Order: sequence, then structure tokens, then C-alpha cells
Amino acid sequence: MSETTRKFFDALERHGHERVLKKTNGTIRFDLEHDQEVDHWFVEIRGGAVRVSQRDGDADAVIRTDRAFFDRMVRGEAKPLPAWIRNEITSEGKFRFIVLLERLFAPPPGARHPRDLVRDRGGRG
Amino acid sequence: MKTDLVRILDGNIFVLSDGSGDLEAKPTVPCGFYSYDTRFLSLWRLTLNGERLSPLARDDPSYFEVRFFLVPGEPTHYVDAKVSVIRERSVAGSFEEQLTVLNHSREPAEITVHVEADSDFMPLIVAAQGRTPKGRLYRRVENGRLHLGYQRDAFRRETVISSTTEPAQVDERGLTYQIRIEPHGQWTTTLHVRGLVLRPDGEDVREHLHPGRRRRDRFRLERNLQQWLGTAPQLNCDWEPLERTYRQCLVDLAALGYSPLTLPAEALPAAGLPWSATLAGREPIFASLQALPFAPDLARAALHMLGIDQGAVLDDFRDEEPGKILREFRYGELVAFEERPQAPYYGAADVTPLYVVLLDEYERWTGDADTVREFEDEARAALHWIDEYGDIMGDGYVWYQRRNEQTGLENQCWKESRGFLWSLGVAPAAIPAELHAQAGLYRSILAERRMLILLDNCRDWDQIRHLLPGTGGSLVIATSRRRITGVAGQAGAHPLHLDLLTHAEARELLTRRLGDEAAADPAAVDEIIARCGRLPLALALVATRSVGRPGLSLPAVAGELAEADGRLAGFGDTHADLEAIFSWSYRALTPEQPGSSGCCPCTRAGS
Repeated sequence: MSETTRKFFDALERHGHERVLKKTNGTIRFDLEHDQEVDHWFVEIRGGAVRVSQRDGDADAVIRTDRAFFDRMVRGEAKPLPAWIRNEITSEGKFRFIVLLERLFAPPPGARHPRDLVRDRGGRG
Repeated sequence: MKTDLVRILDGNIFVLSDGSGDLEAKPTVPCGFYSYDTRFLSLWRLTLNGERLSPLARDDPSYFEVRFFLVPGEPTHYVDAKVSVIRERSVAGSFEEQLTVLNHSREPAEITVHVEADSDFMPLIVAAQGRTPKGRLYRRVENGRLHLGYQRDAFRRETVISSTTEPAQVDERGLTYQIRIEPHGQWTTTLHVRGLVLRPDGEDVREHLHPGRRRRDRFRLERNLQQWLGTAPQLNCDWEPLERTYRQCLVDLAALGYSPLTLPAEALPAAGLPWSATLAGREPIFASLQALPFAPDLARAALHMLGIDQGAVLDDFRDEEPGKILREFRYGELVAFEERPQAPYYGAADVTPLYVVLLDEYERWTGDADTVREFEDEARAALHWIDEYGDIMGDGYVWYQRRNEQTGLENQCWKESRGFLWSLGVAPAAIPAELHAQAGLYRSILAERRMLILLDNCRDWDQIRHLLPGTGGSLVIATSRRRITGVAGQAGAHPLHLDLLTHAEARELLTRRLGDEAAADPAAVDEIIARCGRLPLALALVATRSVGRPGLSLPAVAGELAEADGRLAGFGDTHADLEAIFSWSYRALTPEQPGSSGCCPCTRAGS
């Protein structure tokens, strides 16, 4: 099991409620492929609170990708929605949970606060 | 640029053809069958015995259906036509065409009917520029169906063409029928063209979304339309044109309805038809705001959808920040491979504040406070965005500065001169880059129309001269806070200078707004009039603000204005609108003379 993946799901259980809206409810199962195996991660969101387990159960959305690509999304190096459009991740179920992924992963490395950009340029760009 | 293309559409699926129903895409003529931001047919050409067809007439029963009445050969020959063709086309989830060939003569007719088909799978956003494909195009015939496809890595789009009612000879270039029609007889076939968005396993991605897109055909679309018209408020009037106009507005709103994959059962207004039939931010907010008295569900769907896509992190490529409302979403190849940022793109200064405005107005029109509570988190995140990420200069204003300098949008809203062409229906990619070419295109479009163009708050003649139509029946009203030099000499221009109010008029304005209070204290009124420089706008704003603050005496208002000393932030609370409106006017004033005339040139084109 990838260390990046495990750390991500640990942190998601503890801090997920800070990223998803209070009214969010539903289940997502991640099927992460590697070396002819599939790891399952089952994420349950109730009233914005997140619980994570490794059971292989039915979910509102099932998201399948390979583990290395999943880790790139975790690190913010790749984005879920364009990846879904080019079939780097595939899905079954409710599309809104693919959109929800956008809230869960880290920002891209090197992303700037708009104010810092303006300050670095010394005023209006 | 050909502007007489025939268009039918269903959400982000549409067909643009020439007057005979053929599609022959060129960069200057972006014909095609488009779906999910991709062109699935770039060639669709019908011939009878090798001869092209000419249109006799056309019928447009609805926005998703069209009927072409055609005859072989050049238009001048059709009086002698022994054969004619009816081409009935609909787009409802997919593209369907029923061909009927009629033999009007007393002899049997032997005819070769040929439909030539091809696709370049051009991404919609570059349809009018052309582009060398980065992936592989393929074509094959399988089980009597023609498959045209495009593959780039795991990204795959495929067009499947089938003919349901009659056996056809199908090869990689199209479909051919050898038919014999009896005297005064007819022959019919139905062609079906599906645009597939495929996964690596060959399944359409949309078949794996649950709940999926609702099954669509033209009967369902027609029923939905009747339902939609039945739900809207009824308008009865003894002046029939008004009833008809109202009904057409509702039909147009229905045509604009777009159900994103995320919310397949809800429809919000798309940004525009057909090129912007996609999820956007600004356009659905404005459209649903304007439709609130008639169809408030549009606003609810817009709030719901835009809330789901609300920005969550800092992302320079997308110009995304937490709480920001998106500008545009696209599904095409360029977006998939992140050559363009629209999945989704967030670069916009106004959309996030507009989201909050829409939520507020929705409650005012519907009284549905539960919805406001439902979107509380989204509204709070949007308000936080305004303070934290919108106000980048730290001066209390929302500014725009893109971080994606390669493919992000440089300009916003009122700065988008291209927006004029866009709003006149020109495909975004067909808009020339060079300003003079844009002006030429703009004038040639306006030459055929009668329009009233309002250019508000102009800076100088240079700014507006490109936006004046050349000939035709359009009228332009340009307003400015400054006297625009260069207008007087222009043919057809009528400068109209609006002077300051006289002291008596200013007094009357304040008395009318403030009533007894103003009459009771002439000295304070004189002071306010002087401080406002007899500017009607300034006087009106001061009156409005004073009425809104009960218990405040007129001498106190005059005192505050005096202390503010022209810096109007000092008056009352530092209301942004008030300050902004004042500052525009005040910047135009000289220090000695707080007051100068406005200028309002009017010009009439051509006539």
C-alpha cells in the first residue's frame, strides 16, 4: 500500500469536514489498481463528517484509477475533472462525487495567493 | 463568415448546416454535428444520382427540429423537378434524419441516393481556426454501421452512423442506396448518428452515470416543453402580439436550458446558443435573475450547480481560489489534456458577488427562505472570497488579475470588446484577433440589423469609434461624463450637453425628495447644493442617503459633506457604490470648479 495514499485517507478522516460542505451526504469507493491488485478505500460522508474504511461495498460513486495516478492527485499534481474527461480515472454512479474530489486533494504545488502576485509585481499588473 | 446557417439544438448537442441541410465544415463555415464540445460530423452531404440538392423551402417546427424541402440540381431548374426530397431532422440526445424521396412523374424512377460522411473531431473551441489533430483518426464498417473515431491516449470519441429502415451499402465514406420508386410513389429511410464519449473499455461514460441523463427523443422534448409552458405564469392580453412575444420568450428560455451531468434532472440557463451551450457562471446568473418572476426554478438550479463547483483551493492554472464561482466548464479534448483550463475555469471578478446577489433576489421573489439556508455555506464562502481573494489591492474593491498568463482570460466583462461580436452570434473562434478586422465584422453584421446600442460612460472618441455601425438602421447612444471631442464633426452625430441644474432646480429636487425637512432649513439646503456642485446625480444620492438615515438633520448632512472636502468616502458609511459613482464624476472636475457639464453625443448610423 502506498504511504501517500494511506496518509491521505488518514488525514481525510480527521480533516475532511473542513473541506466538504455540512450538507454533503454519500459514499465513494476508490478502486486503486497496482501490480494486478486492487486496493479498496471506502469513504462515507454523513452531514459533512468523513469516515474511511477499506471495505469493498456498494457506493454512490465508484472511482477507478491506478495508484500512482491517484497519488499524483493527492499531491495536487493532477486534477480529477480533466483526468476524468481523458479517461485517466473512470467512474460508476453519481457524477457529483467526481466533482467533489476537487475539494479533497491538495492544491497544485506552487499555487499563489492572488494578493502575493500583485505584491510581487509592485501594484497593478 | 456565413451567418445564414440553420441550427437545431438540445442542450450542448447541436447541428449547424447550410440551407439544404448539408454539413461541410471549413474554418470560415463551422458547420457540424456537435456534442460535448466536440464536432462529431464535419461532412454530411446528400446527393441524388451524383447531383447536389437545392432548397425550395424550410420549416422549423421547434428549436430541436427542422424540415428541408429540396430538389436536385441548381435552383433555376426546379420547376421541372420530377423528383423531390424531404429531409426531416431532429436533435434530441442524438442526431436523427428521415429522408423521403418523392417521384412526381408518371414513370418509375431509378435513383442512387448517397450520403457522404466524415468527421474531424475538432474541439468546439477551435472549430473556426482549424487544428492538426494530435491523436489518430480512424474509420471502419461494422455490422452495417459506419464508425468514425478519434483516439488520443485513453481519450476516445466515436461517431456511429446507422440506417434503420432500409438496407444500405455502407462503406468507409458513407451510405449508398440503389432505389426504384414507382410513379407518384415515395421512398423513406431514417439515418441515426450518435456521438459517443467512450471509455477505454468501449462503453459510453454517460451510460455509467446514475442517475443517468434522462432518455431524450423529440416526443419527450416536446412534452417537456409543454410542461414548462404550463408551469410558467399565464399571460392574457387582448393585444395578441404581447401574448405571442411572452410565449416565445418562454420557449427561448426552454431552449437555453442545460442539464449538466452533475444534476441531470435540473436545468439551468446555458451561457449562449449554440457555441456557449455549456455550464458557465455569469450568464446563467443573469438569465435566471431576469427570469425570476416567471421561472424561479432556473435560479435555484443555477445556485445549486454553481455551489457544487465552487472553488476549493488555490490553483493558478484555473485562476481558482476557495469560495470562487466558476466562469466556464468544457468537456473537449483541449480541456482534457489541460491545453486549456476550462475544467472548470474560474477567471472572473464579478461572478462570485453575483452568486450572492442571485441568492438574495431568489428569496425576495419567491419567499423561499429554506433555500437560502440550504446555501448558507456557499454564500459564506463566496463572501469570504470577496474579502480575501477578490480585494487583491486591499482597498475595498474587487479587482481582476489572472495568474494563468498563457491560457487564462486576460480581460473581463466590460473590457471584452470581442464580447460585442459574441453577443451578435459570432462563434468565439471566428472572431478575428486584430481590432480593425473585428470592427469590420461587427459593422457587416450590424448592417443587416436594426439595433439600439448603448455605450455608457465613454472615455473619448477613440474608444467608441470602432463600435459605431457603418450603415443600416441602428442607433447609438453614447454617454460620457466628459465632453467628447471629435464627435461634433461626425456625420449623423448629435451632441447633447446636459448642463448642471440651476440653483432653483437643485432646490426643487431636494425639496421633492426630502419634503418638509428641506423647506424648514434653507441654509442647510443651500450648503448641500453648493457642496454637490449642482450635479443631479450627487444631489440625488445625498437625498437618498439622507432619507435612509432617520434622525439625521440636514445641517449634519451638510456638515459631513463639508468635512469630507470632496473626498466622498467621509459621507455616511463608506458605501462602495456611492463612493464609486461620485468619484467618477469628481475625477472629471477641476479643483476650482466642482461642477462641469456632462456630454451626451447621439449618433445615427447611415439613415
